[in-house]
Amino acid sequence: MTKSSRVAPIHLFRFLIKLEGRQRSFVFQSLVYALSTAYIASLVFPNGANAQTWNGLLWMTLAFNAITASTHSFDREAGPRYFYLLGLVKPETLFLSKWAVAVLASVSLALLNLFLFSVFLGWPAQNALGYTLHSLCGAMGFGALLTTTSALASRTGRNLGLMAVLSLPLLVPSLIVGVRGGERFALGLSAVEYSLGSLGLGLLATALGYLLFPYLWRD
Amino acid sequence: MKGALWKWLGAMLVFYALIAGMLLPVPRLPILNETIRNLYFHVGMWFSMLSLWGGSAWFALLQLRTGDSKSDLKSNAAAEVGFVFGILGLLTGMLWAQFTWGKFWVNDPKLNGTAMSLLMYLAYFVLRSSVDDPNRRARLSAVYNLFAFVLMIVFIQVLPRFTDSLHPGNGGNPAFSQYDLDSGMRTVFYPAMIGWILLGYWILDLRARIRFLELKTPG
Repeated sequence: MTKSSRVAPIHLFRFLIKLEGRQRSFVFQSLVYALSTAYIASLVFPNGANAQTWNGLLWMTLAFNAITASTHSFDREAGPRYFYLLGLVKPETLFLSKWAVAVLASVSLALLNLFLFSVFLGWPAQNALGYTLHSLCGAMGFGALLTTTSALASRTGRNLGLMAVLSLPLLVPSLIVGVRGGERFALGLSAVEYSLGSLGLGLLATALGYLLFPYLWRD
Repeated sequence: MKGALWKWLGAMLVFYALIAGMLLPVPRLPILNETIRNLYFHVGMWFSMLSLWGGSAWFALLQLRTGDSKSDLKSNAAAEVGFVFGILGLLTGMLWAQFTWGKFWVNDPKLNGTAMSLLMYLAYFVLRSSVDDPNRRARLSAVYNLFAFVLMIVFIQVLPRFTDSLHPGNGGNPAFSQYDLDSGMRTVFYPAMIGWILLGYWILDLRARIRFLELKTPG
């Protein structure tokens, strides 16, 4: 117990980020995925899309990119490192640092997606600042939720297909709140209650994941 | 005989709902006409489904606290029986929608909530079938069960407040309004709801017992 409590989430977070920097294949994979989806979206709508279609397409892309990015987030912990971490850190610590990595990844992917969409499909959203902040709130919610489903999928040992199957139904609430709020921001209205709704769903998923993760982690 | 009292009560209440629901007078309303009697059956499916899924989450919690394999078995059985009631609720609702709103499927927050929760439990069954080790299966599926159940409850309680719905008492409040129900209908509605819930738990009881016997029987 004394050994476990010495590792703070922030140290583990730094360690995980350093690992991502050393082994860039997952980061690179997410970048290429985001680039190709934005480009395909521009091929599907060669004449540009109206605000509603653009918004819907963007949120679909955000959701699928977030799933793809977090599919492998527990892969490295599946092998010998699993036992190493099991002895070294508390499950809660591991969850919090993984959560921080996932939220950071999801939010930066969302910024990248917004940029790519504005390049390939134009920018029909009127309230640009509101729209961007709202998307980031939604992306935070996605990242928070996907941390737990990704851990679940990796613990089954059959990760690839299961990750999407487990995540998609649970993403529906965040997705609907995100799309509806995004529509309002795109039309120049204010929809702060939707952004707060996204954040609230993200916080709920975080709290649930934090409570349930220890049961997942220990065998 | 003594322990079966609630089963007798459940059966009698369901028979009462079938007979009184078809024969007792109901208010004559435009468009709804005689389809209003579907209230006793369609809503009963949801009451039964939600209480079974609540039971499933409760057994999942017990499983995580105690590691008892019988709780896992009950949790799974409750999810399955709840799923069947969900399908029945969907079918009775689709028939009703066709005769009142003119379409089998409409874009309505309640329908989205149903679709999401059915997908969620399908994912739960997929998760169960993809883990071979019974202990790990019990733990992983209990975690997913609790995670998904809490998100679903929040989703179906919170989201309808954001949007308008065709369902009564919606567009602000997802619950029943006290003025919606005619007092004559109440004398059938409330007993019918209790009857359907008890019937659901009876089926769950049988299913869990069959599963338990299968588990104990070798080969």
